[in-house]
Amino acid sequence: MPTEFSVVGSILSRGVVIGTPYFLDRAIREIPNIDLQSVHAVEEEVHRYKKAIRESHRYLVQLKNRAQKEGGEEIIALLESHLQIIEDPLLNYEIEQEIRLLSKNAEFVLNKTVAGFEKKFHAMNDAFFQQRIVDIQDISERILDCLQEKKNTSFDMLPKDSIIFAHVITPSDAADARRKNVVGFVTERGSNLSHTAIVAKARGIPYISGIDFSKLSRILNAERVIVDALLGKIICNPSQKTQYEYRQLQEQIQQRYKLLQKPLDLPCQTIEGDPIALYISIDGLDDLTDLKTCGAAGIGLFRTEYLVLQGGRFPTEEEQFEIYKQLVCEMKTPVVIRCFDLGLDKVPVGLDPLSGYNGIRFLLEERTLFFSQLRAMLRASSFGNLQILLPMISSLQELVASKKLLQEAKEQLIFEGHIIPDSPRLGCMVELPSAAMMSSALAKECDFFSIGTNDLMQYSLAIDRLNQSSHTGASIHPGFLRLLQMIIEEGRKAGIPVYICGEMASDPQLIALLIGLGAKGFSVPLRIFPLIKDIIRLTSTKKGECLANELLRILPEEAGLQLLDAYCKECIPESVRYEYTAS
Amino acid sequence: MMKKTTKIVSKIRVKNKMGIHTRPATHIVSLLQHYRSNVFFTYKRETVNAKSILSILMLAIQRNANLTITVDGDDAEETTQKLLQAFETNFGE
Repeated sequence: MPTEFSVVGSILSRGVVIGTPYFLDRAIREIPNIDLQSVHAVEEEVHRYKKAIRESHRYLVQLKNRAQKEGGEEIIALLESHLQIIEDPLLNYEIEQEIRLLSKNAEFVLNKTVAGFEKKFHAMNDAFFQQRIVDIQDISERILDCLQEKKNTSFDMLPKDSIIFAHVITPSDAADARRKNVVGFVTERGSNLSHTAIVAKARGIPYISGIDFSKLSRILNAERVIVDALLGKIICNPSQKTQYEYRQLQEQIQQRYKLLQKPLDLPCQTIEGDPIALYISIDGLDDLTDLKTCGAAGIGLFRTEYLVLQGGRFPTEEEQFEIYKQLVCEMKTPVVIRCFDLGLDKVPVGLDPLSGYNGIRFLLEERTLFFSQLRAMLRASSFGNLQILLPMISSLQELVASKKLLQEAKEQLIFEGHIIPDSPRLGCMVELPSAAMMSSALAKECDFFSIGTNDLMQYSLAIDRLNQSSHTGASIHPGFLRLLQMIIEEGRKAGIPVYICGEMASDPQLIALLIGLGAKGFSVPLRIFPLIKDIIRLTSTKKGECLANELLRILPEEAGLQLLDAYCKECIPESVRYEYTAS
Repeated sequence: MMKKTTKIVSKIRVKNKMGIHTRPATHIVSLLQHYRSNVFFTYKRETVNAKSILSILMLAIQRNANLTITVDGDDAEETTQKLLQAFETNFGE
């Protein structure tokens, strides 16, 4: 009986799945190098290449038609760009000429040409431009498959519950995966920004990359493999016991998901009956149906920069208007939309991450962009309760300048004949220590606060959030807690709502503490919404206040963590605690 | 009778925030496929066929770039006009 072992990797798409490994052998491909001996042979070769292009083109069109039926905007856009590339003269006329010039076979010429492109793209210092090479390589692989008459390893032929293991998985492979057959991806290389990851996420296919395949030679004959893309590892040759545990976990995840389908009528309040407003944070318009039926108070945060990152460009005013309008119309609850927040780990093109050119500063610099976003928001606001959130405010001037621009946008729209009802509510992200210290002044000039706990923690404690492994200790740092308390208190004094966003709001261990500090509103991702609501209903405001008072005192981190742990053991039931360690 | 061909050279500054990315590049190629003239972009001493999306992407044209557009053919005037217009409106961004 082969022994069970795990290999750790990076999570590119969350989920848990048990299946059979299938190794995709794209990496090893022989590129023949043949000198063609006659003019006739050369023309035959050109003809053969053209045929391969036509086949590949046809295949892409098929995939696109299928994607259009099944839905999936990202997949369709991806395939459209692939179609443009395959029609490019550089891959058609130029290659045909090169075949004639070199008198070499098509595979050789294609491979050489693509290698040349790779060099050029690799030299670009722009993540988005760089990513395009993956698309070109993908298309090239497809053409080579046609030339070599490799039977398309169509995933339709794979057995049920197959988990694809590959050096790299191309975006069109991912688009090809059918829900029934292909249930997981495991690769050596892959990035969160890649189209493959985007497609995997859209399809709900767990995906782990960064796996060292040299460790896997033992599993070539494996019957079963578990992809745990919640903890970030794959388990090879899982024992019966492990398989059972994971099936249980899958069950629970399914149950949770089913719970989301039913409207949750139970009020969101503490044990004492104090109401807590629980909102959902989103990146896009997926899961709109679930958002409407889960019983949330509304959308607490719509991160519009994801529209930029996924589309590869800034959406137009019209495009934004359509999206915002759809959201407010469908939700019928308050919808807080945050203006493009770009910088640091969400850097798109050409922006130096450390230049401080991010958040509101970027927007105020790129006036036209900011203006068109505000216009789109104002136009959409006449269809529902839309609220505007400004990212990374650090000064009163920034807030005042933004308000001025908003007013100008409103006037311009009215002049153009639009009907704009009362100005939508305008709030600030308080995620910088400077803003926290000025929250009393800011509170007078805006309608609500959203506390960005991730950035606030990073900037006030000088820790790198992308590398946070265990940051519970950081979250309960008395200095940080005092900042939180200050913001919440100033909001209360000015009579404006304060919403807690970021990872702290999604951490079941910290809810009581936050409520104890005076938090009355949270915004969390959809998948964790039911859990947080459960936790809130299990929380006593009084106990939360005691916990907060204890942790606000200057304690060594160890003591603080022990206090927190004791509270959780006492007040959060076992079954609920298992849930959150698994997710 | 041979149609008169003209060569028009224009210089522009790219205003798009993210430079000539996938979408503007796609837009340019779609736009130009209706015209007969040959169209070239010159950026940083490199000249490429503007009807090839890969060629445009490989120029990696950033924001504020100075781009030279050369249009050569019997519908050069109309082509240039349409193209410049597209750049002017930032391709609708």
